[in-house]
Amino acid sequence: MVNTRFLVSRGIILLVTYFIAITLNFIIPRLMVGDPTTVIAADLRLPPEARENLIRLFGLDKDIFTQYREYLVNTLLLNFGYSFDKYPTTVAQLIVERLPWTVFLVGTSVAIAIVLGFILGVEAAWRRGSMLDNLLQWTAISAWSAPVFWIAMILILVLAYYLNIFPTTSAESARLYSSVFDMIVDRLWHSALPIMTLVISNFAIYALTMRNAMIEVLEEDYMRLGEAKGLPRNTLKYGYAARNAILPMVTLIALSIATIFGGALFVEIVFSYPGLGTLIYDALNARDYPVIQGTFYIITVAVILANFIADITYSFLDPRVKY
Amino acid sequence: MSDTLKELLRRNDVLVGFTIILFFATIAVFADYISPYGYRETMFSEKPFLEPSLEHFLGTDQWGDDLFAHLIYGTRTVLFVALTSAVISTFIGIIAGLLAGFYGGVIDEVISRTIDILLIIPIIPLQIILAYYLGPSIWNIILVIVLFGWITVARVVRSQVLSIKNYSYIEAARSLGASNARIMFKHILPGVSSLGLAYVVLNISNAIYTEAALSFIGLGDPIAPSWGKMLNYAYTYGAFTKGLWAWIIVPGLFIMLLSIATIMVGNAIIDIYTRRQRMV
Repeated sequence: MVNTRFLVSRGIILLVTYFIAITLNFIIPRLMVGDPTTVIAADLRLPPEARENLIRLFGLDKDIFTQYREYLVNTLLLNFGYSFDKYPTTVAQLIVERLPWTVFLVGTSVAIAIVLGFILGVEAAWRRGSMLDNLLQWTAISAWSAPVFWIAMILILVLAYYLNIFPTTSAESARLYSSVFDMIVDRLWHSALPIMTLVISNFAIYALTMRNAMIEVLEEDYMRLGEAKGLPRNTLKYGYAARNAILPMVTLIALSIATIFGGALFVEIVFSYPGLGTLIYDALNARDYPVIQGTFYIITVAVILANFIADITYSFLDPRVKY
Repeated sequence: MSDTLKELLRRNDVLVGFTIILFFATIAVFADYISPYGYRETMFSEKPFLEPSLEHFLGTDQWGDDLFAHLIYGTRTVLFVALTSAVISTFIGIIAGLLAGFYGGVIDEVISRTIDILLIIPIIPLQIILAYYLGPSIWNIILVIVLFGWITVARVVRSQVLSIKNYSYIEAARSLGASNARIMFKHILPGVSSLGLAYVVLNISNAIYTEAALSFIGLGDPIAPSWGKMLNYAYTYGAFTKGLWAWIIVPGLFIMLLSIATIMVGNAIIDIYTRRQRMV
């Protein structure tokens, strides 16, 4: 049962968000740097013919409205011109190369954090006031307060430098792989610390939300009825309580996607992980404006899509949802 | 208000939170007496990458600058940025929430939709881009934090105003001929003021985080010392491959401690507020 009206109204908000985000992406560099050609096409690292080509492609010699129209079309086609720093590589090529790494990092850690958060939240609520419950609350506040890049640095210091278990940087070893299996193992081994960082930084807040929602459900009359009927404990815990307490967590997941993407950027920087985070970091240092613009665009699109997926899930889980 | 304060001081979590906040405030005020060196005083005159010792409690950085001095003087920057931006963004949030909740209609529509959209947009990358193009300075960091710091406050205040608006004393004031502005600021605002206080405190933790994050990727103020900048140096100059643990652990611990303290106090205020609301 999908609630079409809910999805349509959410879709409209997401679409408006898309336009506002990319308009900001258009305006901010132009306001600050001034000359739009500086942002897109005028850099000594580009050869003259490429510069002229870009000025024509983005309509930079015309008025601001034409520029905006060209920009809208070009962003849809992922046309962001060339990287100043890595000419003749295009921005689109760089993004296509880096995006899968970030999506893998974010996807895996969100999945692990959700499962961990769900289980811990259910258990903590079920044993309210226990050690686990108290520990969870403190972990949640601490994880929320600790900068994600600091967690990353501590993991490197302890697990990579002192204990020498994991590699400190990059996403793969600089060697040829003997088999696909070898490649997968090596890459997972390299991704372990970045994923661990993001999970540590995020699972507790999921768990806490799950716990709080679950505690409210546990006080409902039907829970007492179920208990009186002699339902098995696990049916009561998961089938009745958790099932009805899961919605706040789904909302939180949707709201936290943008934050986690942001966090992933910092984690990637610390680990020199070849995703969008290092891409934007290197671009900031190299004054590579087109790459900065392109990366922000692609992150925005990814976050908006993720939000929409969360909305669909939400309307599946709760057919009553109205907007 | 004084009742709230009394109730607050009776709670253990608040006392712990206050103590920690006081600890950092003391460091900021008496930095000159606590730190044996000035910020960047030992730069280039001391050896770089020294391990922690009695002479340099946290060691020295890549330029031989005393890291303990950086930490102590950094407290000033961090507290200044956090307090200023928390106060301003809470102020804006309260005004926006009041207007949206009280007037409803088009004003509410505009403010609420703006909030909806800002909740979806990836704020951290947007803040990075803004800070980058605005250029590195303390005031630009404050601006970047304030631009997004008001959202949560506005949302919460709006929903509170919506419920307070229907109380009979508001209706009484209106039938006595009180103007909209009078009702809003004399009768509704006091009702949400302790909530406002809670968000000033909670926004501090938010601001500390953002300042640290921006400084960490090199978008912080180039002159001012800050904890995020210490971590940036630690990362850029490979403190973890040199085993210089104090350089990494202490600044992050400071960020975390101050943030935890503000969350504890802020949550306690909200807790008391909601309990009061239920009793009304």
